[in-house]
Amino acid sequence: MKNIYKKYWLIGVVFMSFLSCNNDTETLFPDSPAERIQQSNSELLNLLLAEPNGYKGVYFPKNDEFGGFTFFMKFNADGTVEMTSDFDSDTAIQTSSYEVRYGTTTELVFTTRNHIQKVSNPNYPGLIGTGFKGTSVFQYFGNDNGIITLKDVRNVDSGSFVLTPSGLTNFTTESVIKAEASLAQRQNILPKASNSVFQVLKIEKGDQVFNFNFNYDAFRLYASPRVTLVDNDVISVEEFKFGIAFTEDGLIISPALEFDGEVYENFTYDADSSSYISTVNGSVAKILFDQAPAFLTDDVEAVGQPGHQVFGSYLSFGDSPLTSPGFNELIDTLNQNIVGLGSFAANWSYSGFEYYAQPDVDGNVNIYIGVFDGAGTTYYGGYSFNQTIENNKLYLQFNGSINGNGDFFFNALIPILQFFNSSNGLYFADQGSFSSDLYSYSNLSSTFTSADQPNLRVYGLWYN
Amino acid sequence: MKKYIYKIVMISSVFLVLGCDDGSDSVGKSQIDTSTPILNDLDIWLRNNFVSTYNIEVLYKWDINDTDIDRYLHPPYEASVQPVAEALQKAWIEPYTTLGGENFVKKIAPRQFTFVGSFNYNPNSPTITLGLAEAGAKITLFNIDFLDFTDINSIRQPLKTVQHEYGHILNQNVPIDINYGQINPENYTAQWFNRSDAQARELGYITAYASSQESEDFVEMISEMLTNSKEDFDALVESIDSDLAKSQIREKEAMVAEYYQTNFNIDIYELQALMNAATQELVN
Repeated sequence: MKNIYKKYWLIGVVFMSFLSCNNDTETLFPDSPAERIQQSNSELLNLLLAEPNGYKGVYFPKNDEFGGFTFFMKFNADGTVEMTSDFDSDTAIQTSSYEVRYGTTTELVFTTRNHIQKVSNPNYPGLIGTGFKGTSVFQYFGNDNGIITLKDVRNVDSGSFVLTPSGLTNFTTESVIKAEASLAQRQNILPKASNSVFQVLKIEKGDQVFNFNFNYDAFRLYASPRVTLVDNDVISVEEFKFGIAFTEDGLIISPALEFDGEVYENFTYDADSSSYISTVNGSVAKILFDQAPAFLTDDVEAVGQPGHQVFGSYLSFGDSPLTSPGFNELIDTLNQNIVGLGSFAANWSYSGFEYYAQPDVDGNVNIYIGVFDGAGTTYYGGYSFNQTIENNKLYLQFNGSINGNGDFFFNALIPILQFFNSSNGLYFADQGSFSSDLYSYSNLSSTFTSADQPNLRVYGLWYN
Repeated sequence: MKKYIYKIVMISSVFLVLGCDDGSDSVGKSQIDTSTPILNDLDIWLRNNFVSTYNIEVLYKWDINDTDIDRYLHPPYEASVQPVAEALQKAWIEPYTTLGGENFVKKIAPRQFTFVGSFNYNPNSPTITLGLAEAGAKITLFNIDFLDFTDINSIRQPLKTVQHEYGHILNQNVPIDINYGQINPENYTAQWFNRSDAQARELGYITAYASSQESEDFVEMISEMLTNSKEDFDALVESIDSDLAKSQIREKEAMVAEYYQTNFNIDIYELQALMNAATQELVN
């Protein structure tokens, strides 16, 4: 019995001695975690330093609320980064510090303040406390042929920062020019006095054309295009939301617009047509000022009914972007004409109008146009129009003046009388409760836009 | 014979086991990155004037973990850092060193400052946070990019925060007299922010925040005394209508002076004069 134990013991020792030499441990990675962290950091740092004239970066801090901004950055080996951006008119290159370090993953951290921190400035007027919800810390998500993708740890699904080699030959001189060109693009999307007020996203694919009302918020650089689709007499509304970042030759939208099987993301500005164009597989998406709205509502049917019977639009109500730059130019013309009536009218000016929309038995309505004498009295030129509503448009056909002031002011007020007398009618839309830069009232507000001259739109409110 | 075989096999087995050493050094070089980071002129200045001298680290390079991740904040301009650091050096550290001795601040001080460039807006509130202190070890100063060094009141803002927090640190080393809280405990409230400073003074507290609790009351007294000249502080107290409130604040002032004299052998009025002179010199 004793010998049996001895043999087992012997066999066990010999067995263990052989197994103990097994050194075939399985390793998932050839390097240690610390080495892999170091390699990842080095990979990003080497990429940043590989471009002697830096990168162009498009940063969308949160594409479900805001648009984005374009940066030009040159990373230096001494830990400094030179930077300019199209965030605002202050485009001068500033130098600050950056680091590539390991946080939750390899991160690019802009460690001191520069242009990039304008996006996270909580002191930004209108966005106090948050700014554009940006960050100074970007996680490294990958490199695709030199294009570096970074993300914000807080807005990982809605924020992105993509660095592309700048392609510049002299960063110092060319980057600021590019940033300023990008900033200028931000103005191109805004309506000018000569532009139609109907900003539309038009998608043409084959024979089909889809028109979206663009609904652009210039403050947040954000658009909510909306299209009304009719399919077998069923009307449905489809809305997209995306942020816009401007570049020197156009704009980029985020998230990209996916519509009818195509994806539109990069738009190029076409100065001739004042439009931004994206062509994908023969399909074309355009952001342009169109001659008519993408969709006509039947709001106009309420005109003349209770709640839509007396309308006022006065300069004293304050400014609203719903009164177009073109209409403001028309007012300037009116004022020149009024002053031109004679030396007595040196301080006279257009003050606004009132529209009595309930037609009489003959279908006629009256509009009174106010001229303020600068001393406390407003004179009203009264005019009669024949009113009809057809095809969701309002038609006001000029009949003539209805009081002495109307006769007296007639020549001076021709531009606004032509506005009302639009032969192709007026587009009418309710705009919710009244709001301007001075006042907010619970009164319902509306806009009238000339179909003859779609750069002319006026905003006001209903008294009853 | 069998015994010999066993012995030979056993000895061979031991050699076999030991023979598994593959000859590599089991302890390789450290995988912790101990290389010196890139230091710019500002980093070197801060190391020479704060780290080496007082064992105080001044962090200004952004680390998202240094502040509340849910707030939208940003780092300062590099140009903003040294003026604020110098303000701390001249108007806080050096006066204490002069009167408390060379080692005073070396022994009792927050070990870390974090400078933040932006304002720190409090969510759903019209207020901002000027500074934060954590366990006597770290002080965070906000909006340093917006300090105006041509305006003494602007310079006093971070100094007030530091004097306040440093008062807490002193209290952690030497507790305050429990009788301090008995002077006028009736109006301490957690809703102190519903009072203005002027209203709080009429109740016998030097600021609204001083009316939150005894310990804050004490350090607010320190902060107000050390960021105003004696004349300005006296004028502030004399502007109070209520004689009772005035006498209560004077009683607190005396206890603060006694605290400094007894425990640190510092005449707080000398300290006040040095700090006020230094602050005046900071104004451009």
